Amino acid sequence: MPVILQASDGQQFPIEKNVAERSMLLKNMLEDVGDAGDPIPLPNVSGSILKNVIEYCEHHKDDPHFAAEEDKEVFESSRKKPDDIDEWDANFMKAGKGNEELFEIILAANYLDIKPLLDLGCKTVANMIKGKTPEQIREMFNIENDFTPEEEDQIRRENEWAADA
Amino acid sequence: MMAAAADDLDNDNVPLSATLINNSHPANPRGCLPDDIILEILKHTEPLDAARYGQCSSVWRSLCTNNPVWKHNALDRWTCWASKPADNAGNWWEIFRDRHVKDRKVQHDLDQLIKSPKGRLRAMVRISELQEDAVDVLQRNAQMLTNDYLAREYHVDRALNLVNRRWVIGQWISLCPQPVRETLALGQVPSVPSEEFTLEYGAFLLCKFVDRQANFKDISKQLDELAEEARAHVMDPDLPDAPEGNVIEVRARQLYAFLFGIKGFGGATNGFYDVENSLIDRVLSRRMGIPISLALIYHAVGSRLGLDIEMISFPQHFLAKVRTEDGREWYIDCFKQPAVQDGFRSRSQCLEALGDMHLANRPEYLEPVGKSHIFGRMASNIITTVNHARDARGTQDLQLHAYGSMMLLLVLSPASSHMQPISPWRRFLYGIMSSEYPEDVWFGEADLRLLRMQLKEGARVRADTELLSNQIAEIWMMDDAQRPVIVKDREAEDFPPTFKVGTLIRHLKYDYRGVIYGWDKTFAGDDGWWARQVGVETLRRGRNQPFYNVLSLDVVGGGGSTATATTLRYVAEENMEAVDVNALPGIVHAFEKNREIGTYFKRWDKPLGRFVVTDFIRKTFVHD
Repeated sequence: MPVILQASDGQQFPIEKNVAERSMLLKNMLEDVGDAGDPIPLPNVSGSILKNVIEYCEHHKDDPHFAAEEDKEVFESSRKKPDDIDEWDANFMKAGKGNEELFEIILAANYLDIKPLLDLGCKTVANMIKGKTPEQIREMFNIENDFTPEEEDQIRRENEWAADA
Repeated sequence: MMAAAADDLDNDNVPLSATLINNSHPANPRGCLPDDIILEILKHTEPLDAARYGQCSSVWRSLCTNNPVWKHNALDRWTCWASKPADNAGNWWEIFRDRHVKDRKVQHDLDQLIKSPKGRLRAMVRISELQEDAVDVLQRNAQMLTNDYLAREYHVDRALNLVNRRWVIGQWISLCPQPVRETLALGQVPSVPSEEFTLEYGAFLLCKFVDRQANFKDISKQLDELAEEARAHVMDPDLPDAPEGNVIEVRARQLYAFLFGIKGFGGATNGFYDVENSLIDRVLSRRMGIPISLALIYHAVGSRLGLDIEMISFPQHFLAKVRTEDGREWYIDCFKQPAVQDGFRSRSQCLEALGDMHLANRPEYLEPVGKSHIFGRMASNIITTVNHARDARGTQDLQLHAYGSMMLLLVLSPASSHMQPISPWRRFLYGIMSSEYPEDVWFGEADLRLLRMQLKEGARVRADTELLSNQIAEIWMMDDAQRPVIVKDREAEDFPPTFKVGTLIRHLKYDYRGVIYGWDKTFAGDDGWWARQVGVETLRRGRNQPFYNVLSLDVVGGGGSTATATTLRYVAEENMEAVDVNALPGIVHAFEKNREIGTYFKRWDKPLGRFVVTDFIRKTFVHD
């Protein structure tokens, strides 16, 4: 029996249960309340983003489950070099996705608690910002520079040690 | 599920979609993503990039200097620390930065010293001043696939050995009184607490000086295992013949029977003068030693079982000692084979033995001695052993053992009589230092400081120390000197030498393989001893043919040994032919394995079929 997800814009997505269970949030929910067959509302995720997330979960539905270790261990073990992204995943992240969409996928993965997708998204962003200047990063993340010119100058000096490594 | 964001950041619970970028949404210092996601992204970022990202805004700055991230990064990147920061250290961001700056300094010095011999020593010494903090970056260099990998590996190896020697000497200094420690001033090695500086720790340091891979845990573990096994034999409560009030003696004898009977430890009656008999790791694996190293094992295992064993610096054979409940003393000779006779002697027997040695008036030889004395005697033994083995092949390590032991003696008992300023020992030490390990000039300087502090002023003393300080000045002078480059241009010669530098050759008479690192267009040695040695006059083409400097590879030790050492030779062209590298698979690797190759060469060049000389040698042989 399929699980029906409903996006913030009302769009509904019937999916297999094991696809839905890639999300720890949904998995726990289905375990706790059982599946009544009603659509599950996801007010934080738009239809277009949810479609992407489901595509990812479909592809990875047979992966072994990420054991729910303690956060600390996850922290220790999950940090890998940014270049070890699998080919399908890399294409999935590339396929016509702008920064905004990418960020939304990351936020959705965070909200739905899909750790591998969150990792993938963060790695992708880490790769994107590598070598960028602070100004370029500000633009990308829509960050306002709240340093005074004096502060900025001082911070630049403090960071000289990391400048040309 | 996220790692917690830094405490000082307020984590507003704005609905997630509202924080997303859209053109109507004003920029803020945080940007469009929540803090925990930014932290997550930073975890996948190279630390140095993250450092730069902190320039974006105040929020990003505090996220980028977030302590858990940098702690993780630092521990991920560096495994060796001169003194490891505490787990709860305040600012890992600063720790990371400082360590990174050190890495850079080491990298810079290393690159320089590989390039040019000028200032090489100063660079080496600077690297070693960072102690263990230099190790990670050095090791990374040894694994880099650079186009000068041979030279790089060679110098990295030298630097790591130097760091190791300084560390070992630094450990020994823990045993010195405060004023000596201050005078030696050998950097920031944390001193070892007295209770941790056990006899076996000192014995380990003697091994470690030469073998930087030696690991105290291995030795400690072996002793623990011996003690565990011995426990059943020594602590057996149902001893049939344990007389009341005599438990200590029974246990001491049982431990003796266990180690020297069951486990087969024993005196090296054959090959007494083998340095391995003094090295605790070798004694443990070979079950063979000299009196002092065996007594030390007896002591180490016994202490683990709660036996109170004292160490007696008896003439000739070092002894262990136990005192029974009723006050009797047993002096234990661990060198004698128990099959012949039990090694337990009473006090009167020992006094008798002293009498036989005309030392009847020196009963103090039966008093227990302290750690420093024991280590001093071990060091003296090693020096004696090496002196006995002077002519043996492959003596570099042997010599290094003696050299390290002398350093130890200078540090431990600077006032002792055989360590006067110009004693033969000290001359030997300074001799090895100048010729083989000039990068140990730091030790010479420390030694001089100590001498000047300890010796009473006098004309004689001044002259002696002057001699030593001249030797040190000379080492520095060599380092600062601009080495003259004599250009040897084969294209300017009418009859250039046949072989180019870097060529692998075979000696036609003696059949060894070697690699050419220099040439003279005719014999350039002196006409006396050297010419006779080379046999110039008996050569078919005589002295007017090219002569080559050759680094040859020799197999050391018989019986299928594959260990190699290198020798420098001077060979006439008529006695050599080029080696067909393709017909001798493994020959290049055999040369590459030998680290001395890196003094002359940067790499093997496969298409060229030759080794490529270092940039400095290239200045001489411009067209080879």
